[in-house]
Amino acid sequence: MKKTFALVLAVMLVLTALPMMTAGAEGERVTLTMLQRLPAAYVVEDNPVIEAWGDLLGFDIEIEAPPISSFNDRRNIIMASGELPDIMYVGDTGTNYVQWATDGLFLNLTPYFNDEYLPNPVRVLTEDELSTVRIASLDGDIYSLPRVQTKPWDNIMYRKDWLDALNLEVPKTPAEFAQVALAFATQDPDGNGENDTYGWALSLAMGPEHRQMLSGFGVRPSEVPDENGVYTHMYNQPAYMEYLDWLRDMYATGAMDPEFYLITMYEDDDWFYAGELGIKYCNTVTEHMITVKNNETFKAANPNAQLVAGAPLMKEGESVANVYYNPQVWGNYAINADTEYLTEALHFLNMGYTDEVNELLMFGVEGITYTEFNAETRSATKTEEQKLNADKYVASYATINYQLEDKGLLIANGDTAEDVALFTEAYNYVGALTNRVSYLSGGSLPGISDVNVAITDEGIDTTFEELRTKYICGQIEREELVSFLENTWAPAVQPILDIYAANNWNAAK
Amino acid sequence: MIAANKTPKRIKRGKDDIAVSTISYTVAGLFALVCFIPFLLVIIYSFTPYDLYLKNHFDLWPERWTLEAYEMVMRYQYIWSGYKNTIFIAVIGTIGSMILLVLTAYPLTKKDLKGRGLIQKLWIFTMFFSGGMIPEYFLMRSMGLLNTLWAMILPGLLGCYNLILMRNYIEGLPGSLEEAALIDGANDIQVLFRIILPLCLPILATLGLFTVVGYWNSYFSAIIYATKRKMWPLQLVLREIVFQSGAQEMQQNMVAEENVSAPFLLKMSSIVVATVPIMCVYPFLQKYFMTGLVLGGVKE
Amino acid sequence: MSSIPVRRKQSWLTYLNKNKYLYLMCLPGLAFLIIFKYIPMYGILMAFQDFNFKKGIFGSPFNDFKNFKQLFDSAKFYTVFANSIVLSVMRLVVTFPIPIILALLINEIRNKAYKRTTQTLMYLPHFISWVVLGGIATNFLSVGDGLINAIIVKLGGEKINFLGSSEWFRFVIIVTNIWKEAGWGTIIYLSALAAINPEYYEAATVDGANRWQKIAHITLPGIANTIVITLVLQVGGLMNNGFEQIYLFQNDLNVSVSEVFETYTYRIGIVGGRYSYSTAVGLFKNVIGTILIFSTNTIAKKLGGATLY
Repeated sequence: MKKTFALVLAVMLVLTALPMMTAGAEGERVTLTMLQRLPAAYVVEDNPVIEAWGDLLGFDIEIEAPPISSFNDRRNIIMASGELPDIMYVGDTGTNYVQWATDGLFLNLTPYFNDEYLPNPVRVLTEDELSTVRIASLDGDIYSLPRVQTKPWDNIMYRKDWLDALNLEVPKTPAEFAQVALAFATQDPDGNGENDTYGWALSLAMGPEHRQMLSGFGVRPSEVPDENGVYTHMYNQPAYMEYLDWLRDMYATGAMDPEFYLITMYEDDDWFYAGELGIKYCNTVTEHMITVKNNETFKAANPNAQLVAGAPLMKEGESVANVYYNPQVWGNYAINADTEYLTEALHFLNMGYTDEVNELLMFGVEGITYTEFNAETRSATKTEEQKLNADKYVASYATINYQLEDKGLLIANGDTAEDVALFTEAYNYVGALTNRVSYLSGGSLPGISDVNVAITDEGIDTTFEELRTKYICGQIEREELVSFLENTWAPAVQPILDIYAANNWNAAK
Repeated sequence: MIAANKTPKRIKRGKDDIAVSTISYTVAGLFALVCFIPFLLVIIYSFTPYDLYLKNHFDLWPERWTLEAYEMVMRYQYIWSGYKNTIFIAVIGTIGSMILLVLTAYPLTKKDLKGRGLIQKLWIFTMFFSGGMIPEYFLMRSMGLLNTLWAMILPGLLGCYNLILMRNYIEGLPGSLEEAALIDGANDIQVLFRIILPLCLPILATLGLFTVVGYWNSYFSAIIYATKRKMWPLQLVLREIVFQSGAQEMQQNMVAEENVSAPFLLKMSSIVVATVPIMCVYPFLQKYFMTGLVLGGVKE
Repeated sequence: MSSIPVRRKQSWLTYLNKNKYLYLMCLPGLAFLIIFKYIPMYGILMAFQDFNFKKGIFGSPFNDFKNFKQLFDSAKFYTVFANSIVLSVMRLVVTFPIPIILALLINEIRNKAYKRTTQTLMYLPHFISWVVLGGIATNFLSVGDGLINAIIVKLGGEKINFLGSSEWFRFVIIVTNIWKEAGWGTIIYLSALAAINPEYYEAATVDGANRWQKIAHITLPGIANTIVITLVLQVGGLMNNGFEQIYLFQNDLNVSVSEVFETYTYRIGIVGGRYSYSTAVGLFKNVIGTILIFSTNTIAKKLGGATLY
């Protein structure tokens, strides 16, 4: 008994001593702490990708990943706690970001934004993209680096099998779109003999101002002046009322889901998967064709479905859609103003803007999360086991920068040559029919936030939303909405337009 | 129940008897049925392939069944540590809470105890006013409780609502027993544990149920106090699994490239996974508040 | 002169000694109350400040009630206030008696198995989150393919847009609220019913009372205290409507009645931080709640019922 006990004790001693010894042997490697927003499936502990990342950088990274569902709650506590991690995913370029930077939580990166400290971001980021993280109300300096997406070509996806069944072409103009949507709703495109389909569903989860629809009417963002240099709020442009009229017509004819105002985020996707809708507009997911095609529900519900990508709607008589894009930023990273590891933190951000780190965080480690990476198509092949590993160890959420301008897209979801070909074809088709008009959002200009707060406090924004939706549903007359827009909305937003004018905002574009 | 045991002696049932029985059996039964519908649907949905659900929301017997949703839930690494944490929080929290509850409530039933009014008002005040997240976070940090399960247990140990219900219940007990014991020379502690506590089983079962369910369902304190994912309770893990990302980014005018969209099925199976264990507690407690106590020896 | 304080002190000590066990019992609860509830209370100061993240609550400057001025100046505040109160008063009036009635009914069921089963089924919806329950309710209430409207049409009625109209919003909120919580709410009354001395019923049977009379003269008085206490507590909560449920059923077509304090605070958060302002809105709500609960309690006291303190 005693002997066994002694043996167990000895083994335990050796076991506890081992990690200590190895730790000692590795020497001076420091650890940087980081706040990151990561999905639920992502595993932070013993993640081989994070270890490989640390090896590449020369220091360890300890990641705190709060619940993605409540990231902001936890982040706000951290910001108020006085104990900030070295590097933070801020996930905000609005009023919170301005306040935190003004309060002195973030390192001013402008002195370091040069070839000595941050050569990769300097090379990769454009001035427009940087403008999203400049704090005009403070000193115009940058206090974080943006994670950018360079080519978000909004598009509209159609059920090709439905179009073929009804002998229709992929629509290009609003009129054609409405025609197709109505046909999908009334002519039984799935041929099941039942009246169980709609053309499409307008989701209000992000408001109805979808770029790929507005382009069909020539609606400008409020920040962009007309050819005479006059700023008009988007809602007060005649083209915007044309857009609402178009929606109202489609609602009246039954081309779109009559209970669209109940749709929550991504719920319209579900109806598309269920085969109830034949049209789905895609704001963001550049890989949509693959994602939808490989969706199990979609395959089960629509075994014979074929998809085709359509371009953003274009104005009658034009051959290309003019779509207004502001710099597409998906969150931003800041450095703690009081960090002990300034050099390392700068190195961390700098390396985040390389292909190497980007591909590592998106695809992981060869053999563990993928079999082979194809540098030309920018996609990787994965076995079933590697796909499961990839769920745990990599995510686009983990990236520091998302896409590099000159390299094209990383196709994280495409696993087969067929998928990649499908995506590439759609991507090129949409790209050829899109004229990207760049502009800058004005939200961070000094004074704008106060006006927005006043509008919310007066309840003008909710009244507008109520009237707009009622108008689309045919519940109120045109005069009521027009009179509200002219008499209440226009004066309320005038200060914002004045600020744009005073700053000559987007005047060159 | 005693009253019920005596009725068989009566052969003829009065009109009142039939009326009361009819109403109570029918109305309670119907309401119970209506309440059962959502739970039944959740269970059925959790085994239904999503495409079939989308086609028909009210199909109670789908043509295909699937275990996929459960397999998906179980695949998440943090489910098991979540169970472990939640069970610890719920068990320790409820035991601690009941002890503190009895000790705090009993003195407040003594109407002539000095300071009683003040203490009660202090408690009521906390129903409305709290310092908010930031000072509470600082408190936990100064106590060294960040990233421990204690941070998720301690702040919820005792609430004013339970305290008032407990006090009210004890006040409703016949005072004669207590007086007799005090005259026999027992001190307050002895009275509480020997006389009062055994009579409190119905309310302890009730408040214990509220507390254990409260702890079981809680997740918010973990967001604030836990920095490591392996410290998350089950409900937070499940919340994460079913969370649909995107909405948050959109509100901040950011573009989410990746749509972390949780299948609807996953939502359903996660409810089953989270609620079935806690529901097993229910029958054990139910008997205490569904059956009348026999107050032996309370006769005046 | 000096003898009086000494005597007072002595009597005070004697009193303390006599009740030492009672005071000892109070100690853990008091410690809990002070440490976890009162020490963090300084956070309320944020409502009077321009909160600065670097300086914290103790270092942030006070702003001369700016947040409150802003609150009372905004037109929206009054709409939100009215919406909150109307909804919660309606909710209280309709919802409050239901768990009591259900508990009385359950209490009258004599078949043990039936009694237990109905009660168990009733409490199930409490465990289903609003997101899911709301989703199910939406399916049922939909104008397009909802079951309820299908039934209405079958009975010869006209379809009702429950979800997309301001007229039906409060109805939907109250009904779904009863659906989810009424069964759970019976538990507290059942435990009060369990404490009624069964001998009272025996005595009443001997006296020839029928079942209605027993309900009126034994059962109801037996749980009267619990009813009053619960009522007072719920009146104190009149300013709260709960975020999740309202947010779920809110849409553009009912926003004119569905915007309450909880959703308004959420909107403020999105439009831009405004931590101090949100704290001020919360503080206003809570002050009203406190006034409500203390005055209701006073009324209850005057009427001779159970009280909170």
